[in-house]
Order: sequence, then C-alpha cells, then structure tokens
Amino acid sequence: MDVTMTYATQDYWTWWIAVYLYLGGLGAATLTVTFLTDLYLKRHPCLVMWGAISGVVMLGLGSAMLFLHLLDHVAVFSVINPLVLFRKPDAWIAWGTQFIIWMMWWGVLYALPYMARSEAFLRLPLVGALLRMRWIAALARCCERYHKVVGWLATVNGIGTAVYTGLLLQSFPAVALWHNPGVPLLFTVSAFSTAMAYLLLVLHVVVRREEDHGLRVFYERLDLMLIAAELVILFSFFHYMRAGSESLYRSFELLWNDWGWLVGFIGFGLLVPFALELKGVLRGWGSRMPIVAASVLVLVGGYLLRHYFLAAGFYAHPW
Amino acid sequence: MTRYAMVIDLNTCVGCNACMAACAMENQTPVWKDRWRTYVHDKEIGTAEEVHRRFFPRLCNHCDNPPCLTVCPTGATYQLDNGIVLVDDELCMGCRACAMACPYDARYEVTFADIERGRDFYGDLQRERPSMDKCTFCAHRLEQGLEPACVQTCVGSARMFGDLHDPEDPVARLVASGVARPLLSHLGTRPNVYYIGDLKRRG
Amino acid sequence: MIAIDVLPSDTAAWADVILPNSTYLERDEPTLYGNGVNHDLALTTRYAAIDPLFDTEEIPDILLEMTRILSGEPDRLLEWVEAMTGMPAAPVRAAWERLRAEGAPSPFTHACREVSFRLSAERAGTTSAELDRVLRERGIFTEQPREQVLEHAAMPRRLPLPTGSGRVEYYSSLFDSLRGMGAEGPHFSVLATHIPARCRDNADMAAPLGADEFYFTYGKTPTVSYASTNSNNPVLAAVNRFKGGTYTGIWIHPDRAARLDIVTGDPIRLTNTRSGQTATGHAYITRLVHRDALFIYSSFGAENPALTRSHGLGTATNKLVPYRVEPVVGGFRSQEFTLRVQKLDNSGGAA
Repeated sequence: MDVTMTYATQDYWTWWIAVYLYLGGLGAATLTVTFLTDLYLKRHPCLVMWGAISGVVMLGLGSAMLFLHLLDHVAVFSVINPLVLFRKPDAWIAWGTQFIIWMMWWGVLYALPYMARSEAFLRLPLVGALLRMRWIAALARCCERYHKVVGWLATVNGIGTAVYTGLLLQSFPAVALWHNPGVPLLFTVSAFSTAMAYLLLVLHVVVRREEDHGLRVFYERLDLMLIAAELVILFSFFHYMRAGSESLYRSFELLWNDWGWLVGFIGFGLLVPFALELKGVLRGWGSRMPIVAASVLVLVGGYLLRHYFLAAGFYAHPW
Repeated sequence: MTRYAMVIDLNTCVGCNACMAACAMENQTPVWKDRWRTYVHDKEIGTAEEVHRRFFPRLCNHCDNPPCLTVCPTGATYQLDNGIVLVDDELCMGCRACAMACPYDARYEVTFADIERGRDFYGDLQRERPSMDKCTFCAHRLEQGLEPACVQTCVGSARMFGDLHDPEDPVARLVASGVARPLLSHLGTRPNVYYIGDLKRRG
Repeated sequence: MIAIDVLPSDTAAWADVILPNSTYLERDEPTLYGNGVNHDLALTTRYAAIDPLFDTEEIPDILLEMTRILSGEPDRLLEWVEAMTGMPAAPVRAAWERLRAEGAPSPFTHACREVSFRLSAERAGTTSAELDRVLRERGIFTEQPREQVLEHAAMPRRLPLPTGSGRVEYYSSLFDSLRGMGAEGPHFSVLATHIPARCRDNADMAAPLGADEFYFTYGKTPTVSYASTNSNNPVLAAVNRFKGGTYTGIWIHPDRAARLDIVTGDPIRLTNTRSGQTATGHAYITRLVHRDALFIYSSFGAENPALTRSHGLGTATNKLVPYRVEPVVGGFRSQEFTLRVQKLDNSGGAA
C-alpha cells in the first residue's frame, strides 16, 4: 500500500517530564555519590547530610512533577504499593517509582545517625524533637551499625533510578531517537555528571573546607571523565542519527540544527565546563569561580538534554 | 480461541464519517475537544496532476504485542484472550506512558473536566474515573453478538470485522491472502487492524 | 411570513410565525414508498424512533389546519392530495375524522398512513397488520424480488427506450406541447439543441479568466442533511470541526492561490462578477480542485446565533448564487457566473 507519511513530535510528555527525569537522575546520583564517598573514600557527615537532604528534595520535587500531572491522583496508590513489581514487572515506571521511593527511605536512613548527632539538626524546632524521640534514636543506632548495608541499598536504588530515567524513554518503540540502548547509558552518565557538578557546588560554596581539597579534585576528575563519556556517547548519537530511519533523521535535523541544543547544551552545557574543569585538573585555578561556573553550566545542560530529547522524538505515521 | 481483527478497505471508504459519529455515541468519547476512538483522515495523495483524495480510517490496532500494555505501570491496560486491549478506568492513573508508547496515536486523555462535560453532552455517562482512553473494538457489543458500532454503521462496507483463527472467516481469508496489510509492522507490534490499499484500483 | 422548521434556522429568524415541526426521529411517515436501494420491488416507510420531545406537529396536519384557517375548506386539500399523489380523499377523510374523534396525535398524518398501509397491503395481497409487522422487523417489505421484476419490466425486452415511441426520438413531443402552452426560448427547443454556457456578461467561455477570477462549483457533506435539519447536532458538529477547512473552507488550487498570496486559513472575500453578491470565508488550499474553479461545501454558512454549534461556520452558497431561474426545471442557475477572490486582513478589510 502506498502511504503518505506524517512525522510528528508529541505533546503528552513535555517540560514536566523533563524535570522529572532530570531531578530523578540528579537526586538519585547525588545520594549515591555522597554515600559511596562516605563509605569508601572518607567519612563525611556534612556531605552526607547535604547530599541526602538535597537528593531527597530533588526526588520529591521530580516525583511531584509527575504526580501533579496525573489524570487521577488517587489511582497512584497502585504504583506506590511495592507489590506492583509482581503485577507489572515489565513497566519501567513501576520500577522507577519503587526505586525512587526506596531511594528516599534508604537515603534518609543512611543520613539519620549523622543528623541525630548534628547540633544544627537538633536545634531545629520540629526535627530536633523528632530526632530526640527514643525510637528514632534507636533506629539511628541500628542504621549506624548496618550503615554499609543501608548505603548499598541506597546505592542500588540510586543507580536503578538513574538508569530507569533512560530505560523509560527506551521503552517507546515508535521513536527511533528513544528506542535504543544508548539512551539509558546517556541519561545515566548525565545523571552522575550533574550529581558531581552539584556536589562540587556544595563543596565550593556551602561546605568549603580546606581538608576537602582532595575530594574536590577527585570529583572534578570524575566529572571530567563523565563529561568526556557523555561527549563520546553524543558523538555516537550524532552519527547514529544521520541515517537509519526517517524518524531518526527528522530528530537529527531538529536537534543538530538547533542553537539551544548545539550552543546551549553541547557548547555551554558540556564543552565549556569540560574546558574549565580540564584546566582545573591539569593546572589548577587560582579561584573557585571557574569550577562553580562549570558546575552551574553542567546542571543547566543536564536539564536541556532531557528537554530536547523529549521534544525531538519523531513518530512516523503512515497516514 | 477467537482472535478479533478488522480489515479496512480504502477502496470503499467514502469518507462519510458515520463511523466517527456511531463510535462517539456508542462510547461517549470527548468529541468536544476533538478526541475520537476512531476517525477518518482526509488526505490528498499523489503527485503532479495525479491527485487523489484518500479517506483513511484509524483506530487502536489491538496489537498482539502492544507497547502500551508493557509500559503501563498500574496494570490498567490489559489484554483479553481474544486480543482486545482494554483500559481499566479505576486503575489508570493517567501517566500517559501508553500514549507515548503507541505508534498508532490511539490514546487520548479523559480528564475529570471531560467527565463533567460528558454528563452534559451525553446525559447518562458510563464512566466515573478519568483515564487514558482507547478503542475497545466495542467489546461490550461483541459480548452481545453485535459488531463494533463503526463496522455496523459503515455504508461502504469498508470496515470488516472477524476472527483470524477461523479459516472460513472472510476477514481471516483477506489477511491470509496478503491483500490486507497492517501498519508499521516493522515495529514488532503485531497489529490486528489491516488495510487494503486503494491506489492500484485507481491507477 | 410563516416558517415550518425543526430548528431555529436562518429562515426561521426572518419568520413572523414559526410552526415547529417534528423531526424525522419523532415521525411516523404519512405514506409508504418504494425502496430505492436495490432492484427489488419493495416498500418501506419510517417509524418514529422516539416520542416527540416538544410540542411539535407533522407537516400534513399543519397544512390541513392552515387550509382550514385560510379557506375553511379542508376537503380541498384532500382533493389536491388525491389529484397529485393518488391517495383517495374519501377514505382518508373518514380515517381522519375517526382519529380526530379519538384524540389521536397528528390525526391527518396518521389517517394518510393508515390508508396508505391499507392500499399497499391490498395490492400486495396481505393485511395492514402483516405489512406493519414485516416492516418493523426487516425495514422493507418485498413485493417482488428483482429477478421477477426484470422478467416483465426489463426495459430492453419490453421497451427499447423510455420515449413515447420507444425509439430514438430527436423530436420532443413534451417540449412541443409546452411550447403550445406558451414556453419560449431555446431551452424548450423540440429538437436537441446546444445552448452555450455563459458565466460572464461580457465574455464567452473561451476568454481567459482574470488572475483573481474563478468558476464556481459546490457539493454536499455527509454530516449535514439536505435541508440542514441536523446542523446543530453536537456530534456531527464535532465531526465538522474535526474536518476543519476541508469542509468549511473555500477550496482553491495552490497554483492560483500562490499568485494571490493566499494560504490555507486566510480570510477571503468572494464577489459574484455578474450579480455583485459577496460572501466571506476562509481559504483551503488543495490540489483536489480544478485550477479555474472554487469549491465550497454548501452545508454551512448559517448565521442565526440560535444555531449554537453551526452559526458562523463556513460560507453560505446562497449568498453567492443569484436569483436566476433555469426555465425548464425551475432550479437556480447556481454555477453560471464567475467569482472574484480578494484576500482580507484579519479585521475583514482588503489586505
């Protein structure tokens, strides 16, 4: 049958899902990186509390974006119930919801012993009273004893969440840009890169301790490698998209002719921070501002990536 | 076991849209916001002076391997043994992943506001919860031994409905003959709506 | 002015008196009629699907009541009906009086229906009750299957041509008799005559069209009935909206539209070069129309705001077609003119 093809992008999932995917990946990776740092690099209660709280807030905000846009908010209980994994193990949103929920729980539990000892938290009106409650104190002691187990449970859920944000898009077969194994890889690398940038901001702007210099340099190096990896993946995407299917080529035409994508994301979101961090790693900067600027750019770029990816997916309709 | 399928003959579709009206009345779709379970594209095809008007009826393809089903996190989207893909209004939370997954653009939103409006529009509305709605092949009519509303009303007999597992069924024979073909079969969705092309006869 | 209508149509807006008519869904038709779908000799009629929603009346009863008011002689209407349709006045009158005495709704309509059933049943060798039962069950009553009909009525066997002599006639005795009654002009020529088409006063058909000048043609949509009696139906109105410019736009070929700098959706004004009549609408650019013609679906253009779902949608053909009557059949000469197209700006002024 001769057909006339119509190529169309979608308007079901727009900026709010981009925010959900972005904050989901960023929050989960932030938690994961702080806990692994605390477990294996250097015990760092301050970083853990910053990472845990901001991670939980990001996951909460991201999930709120999805929740607020649901058609029936009451029906959400069926995915919050962990048994959903037995009923719908093939649905990534089911896994993602569970990853996010358990990530938040394990995240709070991992930070709990530190918070219970933190003067700042104990002075907070409601939180202080909560932390002094006997059963919470007991819970904190228990978490401290098993902090490695809790940390790894959080880590598994964190990595799961970051990977999930890409697997979700991959599960839509009609759009060639999304339906390929490069997407979970790209989104995972981007999630960890933005998390590094966020933690560099924390260490440079908020915590600012001289003894963390080594940690900052380590994060800079990791971020540099992650940005490099992201550039390699995007380079592969560039060549993958140049031919293959019309759906893909339409996405190619849209993305790689767009200044927001080229200059905004690739330029300012990846290349500029890469250059800034490369100089920092090789020769060092006299001021913290270049790395702060690089981190902000990476964070903005992380959102742009998801926004553009959602907007550039083309459906090929044979009618 | 029955496997329901539809064959649409583009040669005999006259573009009257009676299927749209019949379906809207039968299934109370939110037509006030231009959302239909089935609709008919009115396309201008051909090149240079060889221009034709093609009416192209569309609906959910009730795929054997439905992507909307696998992505559905709540289990609201489910499939009957006869192949019909349905949505449970009570379970659906309206995340729209099904709409993203469907290559046939067969899902649409029914919101609380639509339910409110629908009570005015149709009188006795048959639903209370919002959902990402879709065509049901008129499963409720099939249970009563009736054809889907769009098939029964089709004046050009362009829509034929039948059982693929019955070798004597005219629909099964059309599909087996290869004259009726599915849309986007390369995506692995195994659709159960087939089309008979129109250009050969016109040419 | 009196209007009989089912909707607050544009005509109803001008009426001094509106007599609300029942819709086809509320109506038992006053007669049986032939089934035109296939070649079987068959009867059909319409049964009311729902009870009347409002205080409405059937047309035969309205006409009868108006005859009574105007002349005081309702029998004259019955005689005319008999003369024109063959429905016998006497039994209809008897049935009407009985039904009226019983207080039946629309007694004249039902009297006609009763007699029509009785006569049809007699002819078919059955009873009214049986005819009614079959029609309710099957929708049609077959008097004779097409094979039998063709046995005795097939034209090639019985009658070579449907002319008075049954042969090829170049001479029309009908038109000759019309001429005898005073009909004049080439349209009533007794021999087959070519009458050249004329769409412009000062130019023949061979003269080229102006850059903004087009012939005119129109058609029907499946969603709006012949008399627009369903033009306010909410679902059909939604179908019309779904079809958009295809249904409600003015079709122009892209080659011509490009020269006038018109794209789909542009507001345009059409002016009849012969009568000066104008109408506005929105352009719909498509290769499906001839380069030299504009096409409109005649189902739209209602202006009465009481038609909440259809007023202001599309362009009315009757704003463009002048009152020029074709002398033989009495219809409007609805395409014998050309139209000029002018692009408007969004405020409705010339662009």
